[in-house]
Formats: sequence, C-alpha cells, structure tokens
Amino acid sequence: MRNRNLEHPQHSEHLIVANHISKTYDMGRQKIEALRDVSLAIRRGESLAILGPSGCGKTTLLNLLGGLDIPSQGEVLFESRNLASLRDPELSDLRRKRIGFVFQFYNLIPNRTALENVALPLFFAGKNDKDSRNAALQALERVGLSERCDHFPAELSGGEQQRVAIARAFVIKPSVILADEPTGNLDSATGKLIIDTLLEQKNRGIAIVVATHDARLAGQADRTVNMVDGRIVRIESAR
Amino acid sequence: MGKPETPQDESGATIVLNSRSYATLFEQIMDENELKEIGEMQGVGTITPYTYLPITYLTSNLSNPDIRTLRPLEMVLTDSVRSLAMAAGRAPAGRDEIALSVHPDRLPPHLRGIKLGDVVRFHTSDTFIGCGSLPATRSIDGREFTVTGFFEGVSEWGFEALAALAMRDPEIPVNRIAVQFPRTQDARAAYHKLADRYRKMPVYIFSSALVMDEKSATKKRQWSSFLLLVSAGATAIGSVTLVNSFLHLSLARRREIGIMRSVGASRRQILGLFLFEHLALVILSFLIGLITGVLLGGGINTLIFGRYSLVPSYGLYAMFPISWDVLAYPALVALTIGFAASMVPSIKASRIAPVEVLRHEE
Repeated sequence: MRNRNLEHPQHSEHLIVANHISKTYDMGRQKIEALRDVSLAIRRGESLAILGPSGCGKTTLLNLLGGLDIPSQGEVLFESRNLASLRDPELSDLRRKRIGFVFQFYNLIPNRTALENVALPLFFAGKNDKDSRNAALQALERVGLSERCDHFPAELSGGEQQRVAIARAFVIKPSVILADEPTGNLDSATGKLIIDTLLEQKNRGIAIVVATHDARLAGQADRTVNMVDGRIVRIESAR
Repeated sequence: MGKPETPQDESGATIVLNSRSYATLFEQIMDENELKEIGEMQGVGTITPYTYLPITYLTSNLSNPDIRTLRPLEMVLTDSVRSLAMAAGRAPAGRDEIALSVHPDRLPPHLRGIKLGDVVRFHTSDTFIGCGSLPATRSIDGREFTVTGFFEGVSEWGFEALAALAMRDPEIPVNRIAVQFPRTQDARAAYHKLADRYRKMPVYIFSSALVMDEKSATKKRQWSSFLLLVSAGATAIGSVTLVNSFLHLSLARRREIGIMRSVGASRRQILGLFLFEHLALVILSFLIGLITGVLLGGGINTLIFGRYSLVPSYGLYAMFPISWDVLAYPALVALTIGFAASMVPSIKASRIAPVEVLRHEE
C-alpha cells in the first residue's frame, strides 16, 4: 500500500518531524533509493517501532532522524530546527545533548572500559572527569552493570555490551534514543532484557525509536511503523 | 673581606695549570682545615673538594706574578685550585712539573694562538704528568710522550702542547678550551652561565678553530655542508614517513571516529584530539631520540676516543651536557614538522562521515 503524507503534525507538538524525505545513495553508475517520500512524526516520550524486512530503509530513516545523514529531498525537523540547515558544531551539539544512539553491533570503543565508553558523550560535552565518571557510573548502575564498569568490551557478553551502549545513549539525558536492531544480535532471553532496559527509558520521558524485526519489542511500543522498499506503508497505534 | 668580584680581563693573562701526579700532589696540599680558613677569610665559604671558587680567591692566593687572572673559568674544582696554588707558590723550586702562567706577550711565537681563557697543561720534559690517573703514551715524531690526566681529551691535547713545546713544532695547534665541570647544583648553574658566555665554543673541551689552517677549514666546511645535506634529506624522508604513519593511524580508527561522531564529537573536537595525539607522539619520539642520541653518541665517542675522552667523568650531568640552544632548535623543528605532518591526517579524520563508517557494520 502506498501511503504518502501519513502525518502532517503540528511541529511544536512533536520532537522530530520528517517531511517527505527521500534518500538516494549514488553507487557509481547505480543509484539506490533507500527512502522514498517518507513523512513521520515522533512525539515526545513515545515509543515507536519501525518494522520491515532487511533493506527496507529502517537504518537510513534512523540516521536521518538523528542527523547522522541528510536527506536527498525533504526535511527533518528536530524541535522545529531543520537538521540540514545546521552547521557541524550545532548538529554535533544536538547529538551530544539530545539524541542517543544504540546500534545493532553495540559500537563500543574496544580499548576503553565500559565506564569510559559511557562517559564518552560527557567528555565531548566538556564535563569534568569527576562528574562524567559519576554520571556514567549511575547510568551503568541503572542497566545493572556497575560492577563491570572497569571491564573492556571484549570482556563483556553481547547483552552486556548492548546494555553499556544503552547506558551511553541515555547518560546525556537525551530527548530521544534511536536504536537500530538493538536485539538483532542477541539471544531471546538477552533480547528481552534489552527491550525492558530500553523501554524503561521511556518512563523517564525519553522517546524511543527502534528499528527492529523483534515482534515482542514492536508489541510493546506505543506505535509501530511498517516499511517496505523505502516507504512507510502502515502506522499503527497500540490498543 | 667582602665577596670577591670577578676580575676583568685587561691583564690578558692566560693561566696554565700543571702539577705533579694527582696522588703526589694530594700529599702536598694544604689540609682541609687550612682550606676552610682560607675560604672563610676570602668570604667564599667553606672550600670542599667539590666547591667552586670565585677566581679572585685563586688570584689572591697565588704568588706567581704572571698569574693575575683566571677569567674564563670562574669556578674551578678545588683540586685544580690546590694544584694551582701548589704549583704557583708552594711547589719546591726546580720542579719539573710547573704551573705555567704565561702572558700572551710572553708566549713562544708558535703558541700565540692561545687566547685568554684557554687552560693549557703541558710540560717541557719528555714525560708529562697531569693530575689524574689515566696514563697514556703516544709517539709524536718518533718521541714517546706519556700523559696522565683526568680527561684523556685534555691529555690528548696535552700531548700536542707537550710536543709543541718540546719540539717547537709550529704546526701543532694548541688552542684548546678545557672546561672543568663543576659538580654541585650551584656550580652547574654557574657552568651554564659560563657556557652561555662562551657560546661559540664547544661546551666541553677542545676547539682549535683559530689555528685551523686553510686546508682543514675547507675540509670542515665540506663536511658541514655534507652533513647538512644528509640531515635535510633525512628530515624530508622522515616527514613523508610521518605523514604516512599518521594517515594510516587515523584511517585505522575510522570506526572509532564514527562512534565518537555519533555520540556528539564535532569535527573540530576530532581534529583537536588527533592533533594532540600526534603531537604527543612527536614529543615522545623526540625525547627518546634525544636520549638515545646522547647515549649512543657517548658510546661511539668512547669507542673512538676511549673513556672520558669528550665527556668528563662527572656523573649523569656530564652525560647530558646539552645547552638550551642545542635542545631548542631540533625541538622546534620536530614540533613544526610533527604539526605539519599531522594536519592532513587529522583533517581527514575529522571529515569522516559517521554514517559511512557505521553503515558498514561487521
């Protein structure tokens, strides 16, 4: 089902608004359309699951919503600010203070301890060492890993690494956490733990946007967005 | 008596030190109490074997009218003080080791290259005895000369001085600078002051530039040019290698850069981070190179010239007789090259798009 302009929200009510965004990757002679005319609004404090088969554009959409990439067409507004119009320092500042990322493969820096990984955003935000350390330790406590704070990523299990990544995402008290297949690389039991940990953040007023194949995670989200071939085909709200 | 002042050099005197062997001399010197009394009387404090002394103390205690100034060496080890005092005033007449103080006007014509401040040790007999215990023998024009000295370098030069005097050989340059290294902290500071004053001269011992003939001077210029060329080439090659290494280091950390960018690091922060890391590496390398160079240089020097040849045996300080000049210019060059070599890799690192590196996950 082709569904254009699924939402035309009032920008002030929404944290992130994507207006008719498309993304085309130029791969030499071939052009790949990863996203096609997608519109979506993320409300403050809501949880939203993006579902769809591999290659349907979920990751691309998350990258655009988080300002890691810019759309080929359309605009992404974060609190009414067009991300494409921001200069690098402003965009970095936004990511540093308002957006947390969680990746499928954790993306922790291997030669830094769990604590140092979690403190990384605070370091770039210019916080002093003591405050950063305390905040990072608190974040690790919240995900049940305070006793593993001095361990390096290689010494942690996949689930533990992902919890460290989640702690890193919310240590800055962001407005939104964008998670790309956070349970995709984990077994079922660990995946459930990660889902619970992520959704806990929603109770603290943080919006959660998750690209996932995990039906359990989708079932617990406030809304689900279904994507096929770079388009949003359906948006459903939880009963 | 007030604190003695440094005498001016208008007298133009040159002091030449010599003595019996150190052991022999030691038996003859005044005892420690006497030294202490003299020191206090002269207002220079207690004299110990490691005390440096203002030169007026020396001059006021010398009876030899030719020894009027000891200008260039404002501080001399007590041993030398004793040696001087002994030789000048207390040594028995008719001795065959003399403390020879020669006014430039009174120098033999072939020795007139000696400048004020040069310390010359020599003797007119076949056997030269310095003040030390490292005997060495050398044949010069078929004649054997034995030299004993603290520093073989000085002894080496003593050979030449000896030969110059003994054989009246005008070809042998004797214009050398012998600096006795003080040991104490105060003396060290004073030494640096002295070294600054004689900046144009080598820090430790030996230079015969004034007596250098045209052929030698040309040869030296050629060597200098060659070495300059070699060092310029090495610097150029090193710079290219440095750029490559930094580039490799930066690009090997693409994923880490992507992660840092995703958690909010700005391009400027990444640039600063990499510049800082690269410069830290440059400084560390410079320090390692400096220490290795000094140690290796000392080792090679020792292999060629023997123990104590160029570096007097006064502990660690003597191992690093490097002035700020010697240190500052290479440090400046290293930092400049390091900074320049780091710029391109750091800029490249800062421009890595996070989405590009994070998209291609394992």
